[in-house]
Amino acid sequence: MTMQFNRRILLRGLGGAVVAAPFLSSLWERSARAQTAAVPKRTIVMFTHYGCITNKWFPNKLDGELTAADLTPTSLAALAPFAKKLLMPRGIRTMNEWTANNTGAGKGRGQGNDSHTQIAGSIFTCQPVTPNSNDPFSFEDPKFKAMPVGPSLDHVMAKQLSPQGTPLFMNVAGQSKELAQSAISYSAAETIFTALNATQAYSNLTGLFKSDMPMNADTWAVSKGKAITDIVKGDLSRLMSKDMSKADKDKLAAWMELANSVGKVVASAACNQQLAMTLGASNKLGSGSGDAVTRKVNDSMDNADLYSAIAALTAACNANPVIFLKYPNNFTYTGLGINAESHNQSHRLADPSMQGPCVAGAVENLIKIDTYYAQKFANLVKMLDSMTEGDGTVLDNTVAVWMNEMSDGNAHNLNNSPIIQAGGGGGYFKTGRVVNLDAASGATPEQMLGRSMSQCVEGTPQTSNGVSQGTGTESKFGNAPVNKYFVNIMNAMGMKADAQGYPAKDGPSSEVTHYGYSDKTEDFAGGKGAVAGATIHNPGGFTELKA
Amino acid sequence: MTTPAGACGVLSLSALTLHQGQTNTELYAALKNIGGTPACSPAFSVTVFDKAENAVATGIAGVLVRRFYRLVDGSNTLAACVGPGDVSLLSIRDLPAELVIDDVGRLEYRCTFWALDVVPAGSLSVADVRSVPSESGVTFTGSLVNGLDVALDTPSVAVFSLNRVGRPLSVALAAGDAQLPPGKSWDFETNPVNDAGVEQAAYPTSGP
Repeated sequence: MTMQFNRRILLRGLGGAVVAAPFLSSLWERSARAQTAAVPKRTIVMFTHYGCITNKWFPNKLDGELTAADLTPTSLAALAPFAKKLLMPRGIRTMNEWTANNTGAGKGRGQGNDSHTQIAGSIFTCQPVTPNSNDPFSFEDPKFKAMPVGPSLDHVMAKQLSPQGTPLFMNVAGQSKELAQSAISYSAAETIFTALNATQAYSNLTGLFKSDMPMNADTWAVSKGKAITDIVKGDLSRLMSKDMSKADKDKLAAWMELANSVGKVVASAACNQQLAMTLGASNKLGSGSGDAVTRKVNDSMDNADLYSAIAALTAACNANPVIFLKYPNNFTYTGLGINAESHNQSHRLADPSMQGPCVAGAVENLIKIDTYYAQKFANLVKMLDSMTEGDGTVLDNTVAVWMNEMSDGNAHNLNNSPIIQAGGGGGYFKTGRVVNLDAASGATPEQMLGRSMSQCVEGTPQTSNGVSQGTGTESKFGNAPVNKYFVNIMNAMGMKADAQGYPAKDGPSSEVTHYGYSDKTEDFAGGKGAVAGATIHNPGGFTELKA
Repeated sequence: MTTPAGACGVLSLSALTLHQGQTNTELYAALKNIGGTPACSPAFSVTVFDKAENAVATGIAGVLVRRFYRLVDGSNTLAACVGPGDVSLLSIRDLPAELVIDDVGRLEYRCTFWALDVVPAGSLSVADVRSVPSESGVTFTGSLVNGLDVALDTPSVAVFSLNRVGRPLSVALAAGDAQLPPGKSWDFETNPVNDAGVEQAAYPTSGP
C-alpha cells in the first residue's frame, strides 16, 4: 500500500491492477510501509501412467545437492540444465497399492479392486474407491468401475484458488472419455472430470488478450470469476488488520461489497498474443501420421509440447493457478518407433496378461518412453523459466511436478514413487536438492534405484511376473506418505484450512496439515471404514522440503 | 470393431451386440480363450467412436466365468478364469442412453487379465435353464450349483439370450440373498426380457 497525496489508499493486485480503497480517516495519520504486490503462484502437475524403469530414472543419490552430473546418466538427462531449480523428494509412497494379498482389512497394502482402478482413483484423492473388492482375482464388474469417495487434489486446490473453481485439466492425447481404470481427476466423490483438449483450453484463454495489446482487465474481468477484492487481497488483508475506527470499518466493508458487485478480475499485464505465439500455444495441433502425442506441430514442438505451452501460457496469464496435464493410458507411441501398447509394455509382455515370457526390447522401449516424458517435462520447465516475473521467472513462482501412476509398472508398487519437481513455489520449497524423506528405512541409494531391471534384461530371468512384484523396490523402503507432500504444495499456494487442518475455502486456519482419508496404504484395505483408526497419522507437510 | 495389436491377448472376440436398452445403451460380447492357459480376473473395456472419430462413450465389465483356479504359490488364493477353449460372455449395460447407434463409427476394445500359475479348483455351473413366458416378456429359471469348496456369500446369475450363431442379444439377471454352501444349489428366476433367443447361456456373476 502507499499513501497518496489525495489521501486515498491504493491496493495493488497480482497483475498490476491498482484499486483505490475508500478514504479511511482514522488511518490518515498513520504511515504505511510500501508493499509490493504478491507474486502469483501456480501448480502444474504432469502425470504419466505405468511407472518407469527405476534403475535408470532415479539418480544414485538420496540426499544432498542435485547436480547436472547426477541427472545426466539417467532417463532425466534432459532436465540436467535445470538442476538448480529442481527438487527431487525421495522415498515417497502413494496410497492404495494393489497386491495379490489384498483380501480385506488387515491384509495386504490396499483394496482388492482392479489394480489400475484403485491406484488411479486414489493417487490424487488419497481416498479409497467404492464399491470395495476384497478379491484381487475376481471377475465382478464393480471392482473395475470403482471410484474414489472424495475429490482429487486438483479440484480441492481449484476450489480455493481458481477463478472458475475448477482446474485446467488437459489430456495430451485428446482422450476425452476415461474409465475409472485411468481417470485421475475427480470433481467430487465418484464424479470423473472431463479433460479439455488443446483447442478448448486455448480458446478459454483467448478472451484474455487481443492482438498485441495487454489485456483489458475490465473486459476480461466481466467474463471470468474472481472478485476485485480477491486480486488485491494481499494489500487488503494488511489494510484490514490495521486498527481503525468502526466508521472506517463499516465504510471499508461497504466498499468491498460494491467493488465485488461491479466485476471480476484479471491476468498479468504480460499476458498477450505475443506471449502465446512465443510459447507456441497458438499453434494448431499436428495432424497426419504418427501418434497423437508425438505428432509434430513444427520443427521444435510436438503435440505434447503444445499442451505444455498452453499450460505455461495459462500460468503466465494467471488464468488458472491449478493445471493438470495427463498423458494417455493404453497408448502406442509409434512416433517413438514403439509399436507395442504402453500398458502391455510396462509388463514387458506382448499382451495384458501380467505374467509370461518377456518381449524382447520391452525394457529398452520403456526407457525410451521415460526419456521422452523427461524431455517433455524439461520443455515445460524451459517455457516457464523463459518468462520473467518479479525478481525471477514464472518457474520460480510455480510448483511444477511430474508424477507417475506407480513406481515400477510391472510390480504396480507405489513405494519409492518417481517424483521430480521444478520451481520453488515462490520461495516455499528448497531447490537444487534431493531430499530423503524416508531416511528411517535405512535404504541405501542402490536399494532405492529399485529392481526394474531384475527381469527381462540380458542376464536376468526372461519371464515377467507382476504378481511377485519382483521388479518393484523392496516394500520396506520409500514409504513416506504422499499426503504430506500434497500438504506442502497446498501451503506453498497459500491455501486455507478448517479447524482440523483439512483444506477449506475461507477456513480459519492459514495452514493445511491434513489431506485425504489416510496416510497409510494399509488403512485402505477393505475400503472406507473397514480398518479401525484409519486417519492421517502423521499430519503436516515435510519440513525437510521447505526452504 | 478395432483393437490395437495385443490388446486382448488370448481372448478373442467372437460376437458383439450393441443395442438400445430400456434405460441405457447396452453391449453384449462373447470372448473365447484361444490360448493354452487360463485368463484370470478378466475384464473387457470399450471406447465408442462416432463417424467423426470423436470418442462418445466408454464402458467396462468383468468377463463372466464359470471356472475357478487356485494359485500354486501356497496362498490358497482362488482366481476366476476363462479356461483354455472356454467361451465367456459379458454385458456392459451403462453406456449413455443418448448414444445413437446409427452414428457409431467404430468400437475400440481392450482386455485385461492375469496369466497365473494355477491349478483347477472347481466351477460354478448353471443347470436346467428354462424360459418361462410371463406378462412382461420371458423370465428364465434354473439352478446355480456351487462346485467349489468354499461358500458363495451372495449367489447371482446372468442368463444371456443367444441367436442361432451364438451372438448374445440380451441378458436377464437374478440375485439371491442367502449364502450358498459348497456342493449345494440355488434355484433362481430372473427378471423378464423381451427375447428368449434361440438358446441361452448362463453364468454366475459373483464369485466366492
